[in-house]
Amino acid sequence: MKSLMRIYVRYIVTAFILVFAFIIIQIVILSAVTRTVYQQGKEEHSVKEVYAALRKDQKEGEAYLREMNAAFAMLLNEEGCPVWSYNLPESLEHSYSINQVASFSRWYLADYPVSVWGDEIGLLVIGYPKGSVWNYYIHQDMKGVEGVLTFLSWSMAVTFFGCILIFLVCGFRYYRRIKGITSAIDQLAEGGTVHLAESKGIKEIACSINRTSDRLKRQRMELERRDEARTEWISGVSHDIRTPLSLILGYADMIEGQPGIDPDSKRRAEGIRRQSIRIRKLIEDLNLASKLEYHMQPLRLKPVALASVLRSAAAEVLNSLEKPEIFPLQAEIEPDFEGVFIQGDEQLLFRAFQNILGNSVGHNQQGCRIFIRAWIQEGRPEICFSDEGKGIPEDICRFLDEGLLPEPKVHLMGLKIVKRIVEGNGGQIKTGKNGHELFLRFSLENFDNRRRTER
Amino acid sequence: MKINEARILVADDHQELCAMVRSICLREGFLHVDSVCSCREAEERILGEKADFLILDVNMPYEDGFSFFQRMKNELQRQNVPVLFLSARDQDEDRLLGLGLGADDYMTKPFLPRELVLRIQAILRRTWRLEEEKQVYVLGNRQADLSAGVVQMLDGSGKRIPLTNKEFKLLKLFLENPGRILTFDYLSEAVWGENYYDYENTLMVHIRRLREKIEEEPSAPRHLITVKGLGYRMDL
Repeated sequence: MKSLMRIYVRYIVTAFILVFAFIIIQIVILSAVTRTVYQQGKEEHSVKEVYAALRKDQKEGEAYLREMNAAFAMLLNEEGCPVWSYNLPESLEHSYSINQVASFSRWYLADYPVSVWGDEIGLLVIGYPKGSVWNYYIHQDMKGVEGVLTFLSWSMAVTFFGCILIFLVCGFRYYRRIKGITSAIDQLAEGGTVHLAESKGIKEIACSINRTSDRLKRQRMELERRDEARTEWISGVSHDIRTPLSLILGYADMIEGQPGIDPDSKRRAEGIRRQSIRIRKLIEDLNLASKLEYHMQPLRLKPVALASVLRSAAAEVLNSLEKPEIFPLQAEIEPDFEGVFIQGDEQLLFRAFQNILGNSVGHNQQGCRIFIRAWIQEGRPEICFSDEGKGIPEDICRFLDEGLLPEPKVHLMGLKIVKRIVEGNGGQIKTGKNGHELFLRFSLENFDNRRRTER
Repeated sequence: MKINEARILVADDHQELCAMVRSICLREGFLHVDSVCSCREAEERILGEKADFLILDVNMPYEDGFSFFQRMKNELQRQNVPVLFLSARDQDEDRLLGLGLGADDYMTKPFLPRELVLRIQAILRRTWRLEEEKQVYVLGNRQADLSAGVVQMLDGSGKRIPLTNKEFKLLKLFLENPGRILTFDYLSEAVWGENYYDYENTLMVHIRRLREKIEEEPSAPRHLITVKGLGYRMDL
């Protein structure tokens, strides 16, 4: 959910940046427009310049007026009579009272916008073409102006904080909806079921997620039912085989031990007994493999002394051999490893170690040297099993290293069980030296370093 | 009463298996072996006090072995009849259930005949509190007498070397498991109990002292052999 919070913060920051960018753009445009207008006004002559020009030379003044594109101009003396004029319409050729002068000097003279300038030679009135200039006289007392300015400041501040509030609220609502959706997706990914409220705004997404959840639930239930049925079937078959196998094993053992039996029959009975024991092992492996495969074997986790389990498994394998001397086993367990405990299932780990060593024995009937090394590397317990025999086939190495399943004809059950058990106990399995070495590395989380001090 | 005089009752719905268990027991010297195919028949035999040992299957028609055992537990205890479950159900839960109910042992099918007989004998010995036979083992020029807890020289001197408590426990374990590798952990736990860790060095000291008592040349032992990295093995 950290990424979602980041998205939320990013959304708010982006909104602020956009608003500020908008304001800055407005200011830039306004200043550009004002500047252009100011420049245009600057290029024209002001009424004061025309007045100064007229004082020097009338022609120069008229030239200025032409440049200004003035409609007319006149100079009134103190009695209000025009003493000089420029393009003055006939209707305006008369004297003006003080009231008339006061009136047009602020606004318009016969709809002509005018500007005036007065000094010792008289009052200069310049008229511009009708509709070309907007003349407006502003009169406002200072209290009113202050009031307007205060209102504008408050209004801007309130608008600004209002905007912030709207961003935060909208962002939070958006965050909450997205959070609901991402939580639901997380739950689906973890194998759970979800049901989102199909409210406005996210209705379509909520509908899709709910449909997906229902579908996944149905599929999961179907798979569970199928897995359960398969495991039960295997368990049932292996159960039913056990009693007839007891008879085969029992009678073969009895024939083998019968006094005075001829050597050939004894050898045959021994073969039947040995194969029966092999079938028994296969049944046990098949049962365990199917349970591990479909996660129906509960792990009984407790602190397990790896060195002890390792030694017990090795001793058990050697003790079960008829000719243990052809399988010289060298176990090197470093002192650091002796104190290692992991949270694991002792029986299953024993079974895994037994399977690995059993493979070295089973696939090298002529005998071979077997090595076990156990040590601590970077705080993690590691075990290496190796032998001088045939080694693990390439296909199975690929399965152990990368999880790639080999061809169906490749016999995999024993090491598949080993892989499942090791991974179920938080470990990893890797092969080395072309299948002659098998490394088990247990994870740091499972490493219980209580060691001897606590014991 | 001798062990082979015990009346063994096999209760299993599989008649051929009953016949085989019967032959195994008879071959191993048991004199009275009977078999029944249902819990009802087994109940009749027990109530009639016609059995000293019950080998009971779990999956049987009408009533399973567990519920039968639970129902008959008081009667079986009253008559001091030990029970061994012999079942095709190999799950840990079943094993724990059977032993948890109070059965003396639980074996899964398929089984090795010799193992079955050894278990029956061990249970009967325990139940009837039979004295251990005099256990004497010859180790080169000396013999270990477990019943007396001494090692006696056979070189004519007749010298008797007493064993300490720990040495006796260790020697008993080794002599009861000849040819088998017993790990450091197994030996330490058997001698010092659950919290056996940290006793490896002490174990080595005890093994050295034991060798001095049972071996002609303790520095080159012929009987108590070290299996490097794993433990020790007794070669008789």
